[in-house]
Amino acid sequence: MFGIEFVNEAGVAPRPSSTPPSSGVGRKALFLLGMSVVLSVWSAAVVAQPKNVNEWLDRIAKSAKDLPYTGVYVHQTAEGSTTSRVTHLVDKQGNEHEKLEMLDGPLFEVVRRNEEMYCYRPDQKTVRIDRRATGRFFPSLVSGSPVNILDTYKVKLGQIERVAGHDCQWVILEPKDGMRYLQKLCAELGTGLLLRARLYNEKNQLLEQFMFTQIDVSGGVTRQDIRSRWEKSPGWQKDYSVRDSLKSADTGWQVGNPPAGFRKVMEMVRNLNGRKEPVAHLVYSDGLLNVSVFVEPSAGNSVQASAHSTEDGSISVAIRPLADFQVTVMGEVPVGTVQVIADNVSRRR
Amino acid sequence: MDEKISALMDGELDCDDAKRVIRDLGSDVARRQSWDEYHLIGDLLRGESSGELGRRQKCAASIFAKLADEPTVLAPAAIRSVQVEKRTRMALAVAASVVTMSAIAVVAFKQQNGTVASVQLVQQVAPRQVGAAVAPSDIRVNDYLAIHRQYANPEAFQAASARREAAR
Repeated sequence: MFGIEFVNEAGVAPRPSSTPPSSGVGRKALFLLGMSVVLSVWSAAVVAQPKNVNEWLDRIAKSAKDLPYTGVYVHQTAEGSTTSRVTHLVDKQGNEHEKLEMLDGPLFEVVRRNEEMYCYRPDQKTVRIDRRATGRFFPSLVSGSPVNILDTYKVKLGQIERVAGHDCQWVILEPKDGMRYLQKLCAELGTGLLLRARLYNEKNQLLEQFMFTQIDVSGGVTRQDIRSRWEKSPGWQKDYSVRDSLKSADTGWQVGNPPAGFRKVMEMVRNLNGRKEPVAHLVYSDGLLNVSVFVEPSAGNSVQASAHSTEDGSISVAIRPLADFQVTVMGEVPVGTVQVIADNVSRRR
Repeated sequence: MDEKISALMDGELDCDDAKRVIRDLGSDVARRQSWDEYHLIGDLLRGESSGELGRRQKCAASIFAKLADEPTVLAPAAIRSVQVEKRTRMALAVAASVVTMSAIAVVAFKQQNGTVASVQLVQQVAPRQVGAAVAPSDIRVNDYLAIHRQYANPEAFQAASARREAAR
């Protein structure tokens, strides 16, 4: 089967109208090639709309990274909701830019350039520089390849629904094992951009929801739109302490046999306030959900093994002693998952 | 409103009232601050987090100032240990963004030198003996939660900062 590339060189997915139907090509291909090949070429050319879950997942991941868009979304959890505006653009050099403005409460902005995050805090006139590693940032929730995701989730298409003025295809991801949670993603029909995302626990209770209430994917985003309003303001200080304490490194630790689908996506050493020894931080992902593994010397403290989750279930935490070290594992996954991962942490040989 | 928060923590509100209060908590920094402080009171009463007390002196001071204004909040909590249990469970139920907020506050307080005075003050109030149940790993977990969540909810980070300033 042909892989269908929805994203052109400029990194912009074509609108359905940009590619005229070509029934002639389709007919020739029909005789020369197998039926399934024809169907995918034809559907890509005429409708430009994914026809199977593989293509949907691919498109959901790529559209969030490649498209220009700006919109307002609500993030809802057990304790309430917050509203943010997100604006996204890929420049000509291929750098990804994103601006996140909190619309509730005190002024706050995060501007991201690739993996580097600039957190603007006007009350302190401070820009704090951090690296994106583990946070769940809407609409960029799908990071893994469709093939890997399909190994551990049963993915099916649901209803088409109207969200924020756009037609939207529900994609349901049911976990194949108890190591991850049910997720429902709703992707805009034309572009594949996520307009809604829901995370459920094993009892089918909603843990978290992201939802665009207004979204513009027509491509009118400029460089100016992804700059912080305080970028040029005088008297601001830059705080590099967090970023500078991060070092991508071989920590000497590993998760020997992680649960199916979980792969290491990041490994670094962190220096934290109040700790003499640096902490090893490894991040594992199943393509949708992230798990952080922290290893630090126990420094004479007795470490009790434990595993629990916050009562709303949004984050599970497992702790265990390992020789003279403490292993702490946490993530938006069931308790059993963090426990298995904690039990499989070992020295790399 | 603060009575409503207290009632929410005790599980005494009906569904509609609870929704309203939770929504208010999400949007009002001052109310969220009350919420956090009430939970801290619960922790102190149950003798938890005692290892952090010295470091949390500023925070504790602001709580006691609050208690002086609102004796009715503390008294029932001290007497009805069942209610305290409920509050603690509710504390766990608070979504991770609030956990992050608390965690950052703890990090900040850790950098200040604690004094014995505030610890003793707390021990007088607490119905159970404080001391043995020092849990250094709890502090570490809070740090790690903050790292793991990053700024998924920057407002929480902002609120933590505002609270820290207020406690000074």
